[in-house]
Amino acid sequence: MKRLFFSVFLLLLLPLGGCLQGLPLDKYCYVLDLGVERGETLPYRFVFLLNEDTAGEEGEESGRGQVSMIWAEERTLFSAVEALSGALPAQLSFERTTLLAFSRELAESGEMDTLTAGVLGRLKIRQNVRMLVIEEDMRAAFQGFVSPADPSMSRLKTNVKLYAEGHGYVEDWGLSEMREAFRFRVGDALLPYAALVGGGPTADMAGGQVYPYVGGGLLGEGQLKTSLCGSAVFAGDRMVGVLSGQHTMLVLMAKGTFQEGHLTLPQEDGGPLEMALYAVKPPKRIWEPGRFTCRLTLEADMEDPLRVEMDEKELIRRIETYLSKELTRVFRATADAGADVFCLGREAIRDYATWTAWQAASFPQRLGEVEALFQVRVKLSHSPRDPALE
Amino acid sequence: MNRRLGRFGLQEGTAAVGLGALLSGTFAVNLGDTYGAGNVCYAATAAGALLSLLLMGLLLKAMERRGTGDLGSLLFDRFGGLLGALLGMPLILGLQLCAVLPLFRFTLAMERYIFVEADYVPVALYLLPVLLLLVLRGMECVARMAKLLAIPGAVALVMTLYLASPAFHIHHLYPLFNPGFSAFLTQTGEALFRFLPAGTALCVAGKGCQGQGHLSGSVRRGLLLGGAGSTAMQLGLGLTFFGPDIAGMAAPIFCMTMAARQERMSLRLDMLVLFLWLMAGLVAAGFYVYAAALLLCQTAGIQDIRPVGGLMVLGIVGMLLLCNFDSERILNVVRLVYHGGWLLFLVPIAGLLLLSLGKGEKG
Repeated sequence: MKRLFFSVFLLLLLPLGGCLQGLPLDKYCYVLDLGVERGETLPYRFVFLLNEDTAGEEGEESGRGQVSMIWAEERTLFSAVEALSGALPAQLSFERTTLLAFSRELAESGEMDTLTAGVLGRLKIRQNVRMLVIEEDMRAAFQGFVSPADPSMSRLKTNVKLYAEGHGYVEDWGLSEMREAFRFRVGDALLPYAALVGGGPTADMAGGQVYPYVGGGLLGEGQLKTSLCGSAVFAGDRMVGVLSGQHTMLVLMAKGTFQEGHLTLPQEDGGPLEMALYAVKPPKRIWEPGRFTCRLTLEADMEDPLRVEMDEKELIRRIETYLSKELTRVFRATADAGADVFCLGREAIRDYATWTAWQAASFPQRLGEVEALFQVRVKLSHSPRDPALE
Repeated sequence: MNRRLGRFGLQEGTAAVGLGALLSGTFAVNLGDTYGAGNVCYAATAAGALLSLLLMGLLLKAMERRGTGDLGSLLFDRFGGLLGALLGMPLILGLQLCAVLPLFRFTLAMERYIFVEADYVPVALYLLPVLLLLVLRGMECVARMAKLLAIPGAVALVMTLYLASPAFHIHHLYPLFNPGFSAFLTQTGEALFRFLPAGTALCVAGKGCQGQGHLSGSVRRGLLLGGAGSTAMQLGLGLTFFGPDIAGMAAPIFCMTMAARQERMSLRLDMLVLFLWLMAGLVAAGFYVYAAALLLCQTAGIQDIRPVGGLMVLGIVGMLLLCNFDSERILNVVRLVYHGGWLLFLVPIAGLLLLSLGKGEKG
């Protein structure tokens, strides 16, 4: 009797938590990616990339199901899910959703906040789901991300991570971070931006002569017909422009999230200079009301030091001046649009004693008046006088 | 007499108090009112833990002075049978409420994030047999389970902070002390409700300890460890989200583990961590319910704890089910518990201290 009692006790204790409700081992359609754009008949079109799990079927491994795309036009995401549930052989589940994409039109109209308001709670979408803004035509863009070798768009997610960490061309944003930026305005969102190759604008909001790495302006074509190309700049919950990959890199340098990247330094005499840039230490950000000073320390690794016919000090001066000028230009362009993508709010909020005072101050609206000073210090790791190959 | 007290040592006692303090300190927080206007919770939690340590130190000194091995005997010794039993009532109620509050958070998290297709009731009802068995097996079993779960509890704490750490930003704590100093004092008072129960529960089961020295050592160490752990958790939570955001979350500690994007390897660690928390939470709840049942037995002279413990577990699950009702009246009662629950402990303890540590009061 004692043994039986102890066995039951152990059996109950091992899981310690569970559920008494009998749940069928149903087949699930897992939503991997979800896209929202303006609908033609109803307000929104919801595009779902599904992975139909074949768990339970003999001889098949879980998670190896078919990937397919479905869509529905509806007024809300919940009604779209309800409508589609009736038209699918299995239940929709958002447990494995890792990407949430919105069209540029919706981002510019400020509807992303409303559309994402309920998804965390009722649909149980994870808070760290990746965010993306897509130039236009969600279905074509999703199709463009899919290749026979990668039907689940996982390459896109790898690219976001790679571009964020290895190049600084985009910043990796999650849903909860984005909603926080929309709600509290302590720094604005800078979401990865994607477009179909060959479409979209070819200049970003800061202008300048960088490679036109914006909105589908890629001068090339690969196997994926859609590509990441810069960042969508938000002022509160509204998208106000696009920054190219290289301009995004400058923003990340000033924010302190830049790790390494690539810089093309234009030269009046001769072709552009290529170099790899590394963050040596986090930037020193000093905020005094109305004045922002950012001290950056970077390491530049010349890719072809022998080609540079210039004094080392002169080269450093040129890189520093170029970066400082570009940073100021990008800052002015975004600040004038009321977008705090440099996240000055994170320092400015420290001057306020209460939330009410912070909200009443409308800090982002006064960004245009802020004087920004970027002091860049560059250290050459392979200087022209000391090439690595020697 | 069948009170199922058994015997347990310093480590078991420390683990029971530590888990109780950690779980209550982390999960028994009224999110809406505590974080709605800003965040001073981490500071109030630390202050509450220290204040509780001081009060429990005095209570242990009083028990030592009067030579009583447990809290029930001290109540009887100082107030007599009837008044002692009456003053024990708020403690019994308080201990039961302390068992319910963290369990409610866990049940919500399980229902929303683990058993997504299930309803709240079947998830909550699953806790009934587990809790019942723990309580019926008695204090020695609870204490030994607590010792077993001390390491998983610590792992849950470290893993939660580790998973959330990429999302930590110092600006989330600003505006600093936004709710003001009065809110800090109020929340410190409320924090007593999260730490006093763990110490009180072990004092109730004090005769199971290997002497007064072990009892004092267990309470002090447990409160210190549990207080430090829950302060770290509240600080971590504050670094992850802005206060007003936390106020609207059903399971912020679980959300915290999902705030930062993880590599594939650690993608499902958040769920594993939730189960570790749940296991620790069930043992902590079992500890509180057992102590409440034992105190009732001590003050009412009941010899067999099993029917009392069984009924109390049923009561706990009943309260757990009630908590889920979206009724204004229930919400008001829950808010009242969060705001005034600490008085259920402070009034009897203060009374005991006044009568036990006064001039000339010696055992």
